[in-house]
Amino acid sequence: MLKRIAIFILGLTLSQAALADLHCTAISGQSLDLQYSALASVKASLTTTAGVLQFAGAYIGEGKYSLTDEHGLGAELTTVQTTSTYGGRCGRCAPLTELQTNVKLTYSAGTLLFTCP
Amino acid sequence: MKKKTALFFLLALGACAGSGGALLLSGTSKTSVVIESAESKNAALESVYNEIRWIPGRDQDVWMMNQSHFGRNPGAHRWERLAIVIDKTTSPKTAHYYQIQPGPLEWAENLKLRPVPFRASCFTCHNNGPRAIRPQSDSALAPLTWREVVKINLWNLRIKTYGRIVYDPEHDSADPTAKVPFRFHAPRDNDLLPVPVCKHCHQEGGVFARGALRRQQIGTIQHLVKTGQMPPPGFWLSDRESRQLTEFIMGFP
Repeated sequence: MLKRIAIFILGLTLSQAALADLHCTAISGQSLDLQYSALASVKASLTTTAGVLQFAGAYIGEGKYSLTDEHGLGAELTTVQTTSTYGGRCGRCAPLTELQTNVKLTYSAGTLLFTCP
Repeated sequence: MKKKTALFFLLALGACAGSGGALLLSGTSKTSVVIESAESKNAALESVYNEIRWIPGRDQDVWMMNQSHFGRNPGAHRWERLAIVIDKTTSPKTAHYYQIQPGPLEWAENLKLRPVPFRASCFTCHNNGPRAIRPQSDSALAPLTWREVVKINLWNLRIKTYGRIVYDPEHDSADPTAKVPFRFHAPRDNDLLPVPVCKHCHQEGGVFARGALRRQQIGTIQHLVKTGQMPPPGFWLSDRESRQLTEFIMGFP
């Protein structure tokens, strides 16, 4: 019985730990707030000059989430982690790229690219 | 009158040939050139200085470089000595990259036997052997004479006319045990740049082939596009290609 309780608590802890919040911005001015659990589900809130649009969806593989917006329209969100290793030991040839998450949102109004420092 | 005109043209032709020969001599002379790199930066984003020398040969060319990440006069032991040896007997030509103990820019075959570990992954910048030399034109600490400017232009012409140069497959054999690999091997690191205008030259086959570019080279790609050096004159990125490039640099498939 104790073992089961321990496993339950561990599972609960891990699932909470996997939840992440990200605040992302696009060069074109929009912002995207994400609450997601890696490899499971995501909730997204897109703020543009036209207002706020909510999305929710599930992980479909290879860093992609299939979403639906509040009007029932389909969307897709892709996340990637950039790497800092390409700059070499000390950025020879090009300054280092900071390690960060980048997000691409394709929805009814087009595609937006975000950086999430 | 006709005789005089003919003589004039003959003299002009002779002068051109003479100056061309002098330029060629200047380009292949055995002295090195020190530049402040317009591209490379150290960890603090400060200038990197390169002393470069070309040692041409019948079967192989050697491009040697002493590189300083510690300013113009870092002291003899702080220059990093590097070499790219181009085997001209293969088709396409093959390049082997070396990092060797600090020392003068003089090549000896036995240096191949005493390489030291790479400090950076060569392939992330060198997709096709030696790259065009791009000095900071207004450098205060490494100003160039006009002769050196001519020499660098001739060297760049030589580099351009090698055509496709592949890396020596020995690098792939050595990478599994190397602390710093010659190149990154994960599939994502090797995603090919999909932008059509770049692929005119950055492909594996054809007269102007310079080798397909990969994701591990985004630092260099980004720098050259941002500074307007790529695409070269006569080519430009369409809006769609520009977006494609941005997505590739940001890491999207």
